Amino acid sequence: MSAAIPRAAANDAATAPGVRSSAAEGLATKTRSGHVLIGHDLAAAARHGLLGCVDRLDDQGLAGWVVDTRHPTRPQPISIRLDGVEIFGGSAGTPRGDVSEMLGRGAACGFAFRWRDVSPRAPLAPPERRSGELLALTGGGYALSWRVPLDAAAVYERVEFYARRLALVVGVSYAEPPIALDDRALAATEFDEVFYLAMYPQARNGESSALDHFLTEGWKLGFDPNPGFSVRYYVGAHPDVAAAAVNPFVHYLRAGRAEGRVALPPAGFRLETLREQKTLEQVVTLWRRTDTFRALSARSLSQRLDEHLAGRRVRGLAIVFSHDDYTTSVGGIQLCLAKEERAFVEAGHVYLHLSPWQALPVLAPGGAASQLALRVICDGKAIGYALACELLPALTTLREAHEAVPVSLVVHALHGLAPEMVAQTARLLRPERSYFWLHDYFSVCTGYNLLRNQIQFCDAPPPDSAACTVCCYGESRPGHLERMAALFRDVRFTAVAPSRHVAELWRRASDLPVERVLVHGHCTLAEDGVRIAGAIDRELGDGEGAAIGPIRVAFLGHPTVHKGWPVFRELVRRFCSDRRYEFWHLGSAANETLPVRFREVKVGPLYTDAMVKALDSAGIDVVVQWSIWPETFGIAARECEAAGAFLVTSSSSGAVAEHAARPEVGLALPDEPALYELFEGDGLLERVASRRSGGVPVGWLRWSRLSADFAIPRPDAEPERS
Amino acid sequence: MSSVHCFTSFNFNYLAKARVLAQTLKKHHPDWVMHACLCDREPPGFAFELEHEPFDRVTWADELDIPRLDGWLFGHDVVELCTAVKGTMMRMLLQQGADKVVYLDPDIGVLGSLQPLVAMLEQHDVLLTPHQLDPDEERHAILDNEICSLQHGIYNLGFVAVANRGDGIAFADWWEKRLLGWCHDSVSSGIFVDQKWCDLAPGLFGRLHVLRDPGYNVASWNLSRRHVDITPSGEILVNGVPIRFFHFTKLGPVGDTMTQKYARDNFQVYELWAWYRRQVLRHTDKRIPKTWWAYARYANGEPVQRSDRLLYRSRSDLKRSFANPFGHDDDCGYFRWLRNERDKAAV
Repeated sequence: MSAAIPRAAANDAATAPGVRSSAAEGLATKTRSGHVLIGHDLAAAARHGLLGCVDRLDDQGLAGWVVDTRHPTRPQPISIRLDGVEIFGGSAGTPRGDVSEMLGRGAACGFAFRWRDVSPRAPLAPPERRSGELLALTGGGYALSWRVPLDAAAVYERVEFYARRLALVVGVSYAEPPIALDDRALAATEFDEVFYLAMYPQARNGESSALDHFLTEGWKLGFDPNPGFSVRYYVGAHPDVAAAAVNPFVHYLRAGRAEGRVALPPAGFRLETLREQKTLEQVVTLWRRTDTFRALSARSLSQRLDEHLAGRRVRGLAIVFSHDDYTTSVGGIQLCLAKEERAFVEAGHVYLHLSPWQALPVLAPGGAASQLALRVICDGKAIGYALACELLPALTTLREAHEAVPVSLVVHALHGLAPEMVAQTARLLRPERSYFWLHDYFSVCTGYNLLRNQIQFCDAPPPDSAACTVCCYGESRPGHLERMAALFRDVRFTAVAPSRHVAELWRRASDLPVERVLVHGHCTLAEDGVRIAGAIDRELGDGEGAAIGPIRVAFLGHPTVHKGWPVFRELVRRFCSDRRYEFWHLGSAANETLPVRFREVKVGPLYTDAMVKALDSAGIDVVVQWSIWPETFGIAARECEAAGAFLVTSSSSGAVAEHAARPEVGLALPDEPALYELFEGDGLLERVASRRSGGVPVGWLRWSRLSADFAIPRPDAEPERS
Repeated sequence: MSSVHCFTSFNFNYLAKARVLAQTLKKHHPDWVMHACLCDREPPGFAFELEHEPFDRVTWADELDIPRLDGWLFGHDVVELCTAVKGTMMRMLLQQGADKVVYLDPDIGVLGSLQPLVAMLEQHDVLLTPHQLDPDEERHAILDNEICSLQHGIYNLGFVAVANRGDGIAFADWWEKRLLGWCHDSVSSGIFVDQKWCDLAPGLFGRLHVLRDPGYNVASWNLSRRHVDITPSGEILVNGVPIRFFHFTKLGPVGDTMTQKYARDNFQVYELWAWYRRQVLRHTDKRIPKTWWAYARYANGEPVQRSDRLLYRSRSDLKRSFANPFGHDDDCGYFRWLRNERDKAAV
């Protein structure tokens, strides 16, 4: 999570007394050292000797200091803005002993105010009412720094919240140097005005040209002058440019390019991801819960199960393991589990679901499997939490009470669980059938999506290979595989792959013994009509694409790296000024840093077709689903087909690429340059034109019942054997 | 003593990196003997315990068989000292009977087997790796790489290997003598620590072999002409051949800038760096102060300026008068003398 430029503040900022209007935009930046800076023009402020710190910000108020190091006793005018509106105007001028000590001379620079005193509007209500963590005094090189612990995810949440809404503007008494004419002329040679205004609509202020906006303010806000130059990257990668505080684009054009300096992050998101990468141990630490739970004894657990099952005629037991509580978490697998549960329950089976209390990206420690805490859900109803050593006797009691009925053991995911505990469950309950679902590749590597260092599909090489040596999952993999192998030796699983692709890859990558491997998808398309896109109202643009209106290109779901958000982001960067395209994001949370149209879509057990409907109503022509890992099924790809949108994906996206191999469904491209080339040329335009005029079949998704299709076979749901 | 002995030379600031080197070397060559040459003394609160380290043996610089050792140590800054001991260490290991001696810089990570070196040392007596194997074409790359090598040395002395015979012994003797007298960072005089000397080596030693395999000594100074690939079967290849070792020179912003300048979209290079960062972090001992170097201060705690060293090493009268220029406890004769001289000059 990163703090973002507070657009609201930037757009609506009014000029405060004593504050220059050009400096009245808020800026919040998260630095690598874990500081969050709030101010209007940090580089300029530091250059002019301004230092400061927000040392308290909580539900009571805001306090800190701002000092002009050249004149430390001169009070600095400050203005505090909330959502772009000034709520406090005054000065920072109370004596501060600590700052005086730091500077070695007297300083009158402190400020403090209470929310209730300063605003007739509603007080700023932070997401969590805690304080005390956001405290630090620093004399570092930035104008205003707000220090937070690096590992405090909760704090970041609040930081982002504040950063979006709050701007602390410091009045400065210096005059900006005028822009040199030759700098302007040089920048003009490669400044892309159309791109700039499309990316940063707030630059359309009617007072100055886009180029002037960039030269005076834009570059300081991290705005890029054209798609081929990243201000933030260039400054970050070249400390000498940062120290000189010159316009980085002008520097690049004048000298940097000839010196071979790099203008864009090389290797794109991959380098970015590696830079921000945490070790597996750090991630595990971050995930650790600090709260507690009330554990049920074997007896009370049995009692609760008995109460729940009272009066039921039990025809079978399904003991199901997965990584989280499918009744409250949102996601494709959780959706599938809800459908599986319904099918089992409708057939009279008990659906007993077990997931770890402590979610983890790795297996739970093996040494203490009996102490593993699990959440118990029966037929969708929360029963409570229990340690494995109490749960297993309760399961034995349940089994004894229903001795004659068949038992199915189903493993959907093992993250946070101990395979030893699963094996013990199998030994005690003696299931007739055991299914191990290949929703991901966790049985092959700790890195469940087979992304080496989280950036590149690795094809599961031998664990002692050089590739595994340098991978962030490499060290944990041998022990992980050993535990998986022990589980598969103990339990004779039928492996179930949601696609042919995953079945083949898993067989190639794994030597785990299984009874057989089945291929069973989560849903299929039931066609029920033809979508004629021309029927949808469109705003017609001009230019080449005008004859058919802009192509609506969408990204679906969470904007994550492995789902391909960075590639979509780059696509938007490159083509946001191309009138042939219009970019959309359909998902649960908007990313405000891109000029895309956002539509909120929440898919859940009660509205499984929400995405299909959203795609249809938004008139999306093309979905770019650039997953960088071999997806095992790809529900979004099916939703896309059901809505009649054309799917563009990477050839390494596994089941998604497999799905897109049918020309009427989509297109799988070898790499990112091929994607940009497609958008550059007319190929997409022609495809969409023909689909719009000829119409495309659309329909709805017919969902499978997952394990219930095998445990309780239906004639119409015959699994395909691999 | 027989078989292959490998050594590295460092001060405690580089301990984490040297540990990564030793551990990665031992992974591929558990039978090689790994030596640490420590050009430092332990910082307060930290003890270097060999049994908990990935090294087999340790040699302290102040135990080396070097005439007028204290004065000699004083005459070098940290980079000069860590490189100046290399000749003596190499000669000493050969004298002790090592069949083959390999030197690796502490900021190297071994990523593949070095067994081919053993075979090469059957054919040749000395092995060196040039900074560059292929000419650069762009002006900035010529400046950064080729011209830099012209100034600092054609061969990268992060690696050198010798066999215990003929030219191997002769090279070690010659190199030791030169380094004892002139292991200085003085590019304008045509000297750059231990490295520039070796520009002469191919001319002086007929059985020296220039190792031209791109899998060895991959570093930012040759990334413009080397491409790193990681294959589906798990191999790491450099220009199509297996990687042997990567020289992670300048861990930090400077190294990042140069790496990105030349690796560009070759993201596998960044993966190697990310791995290296994790390893170094894991092996970092927080008890060692970040700027620690025992020979950075006089016995009275005052910092030794580079100019103090330059003056000392240039004047034989000072060397005679102050055999131990660091001094003992409160008796810091050279420091006192310098202060007096400066005071006089100021008056």
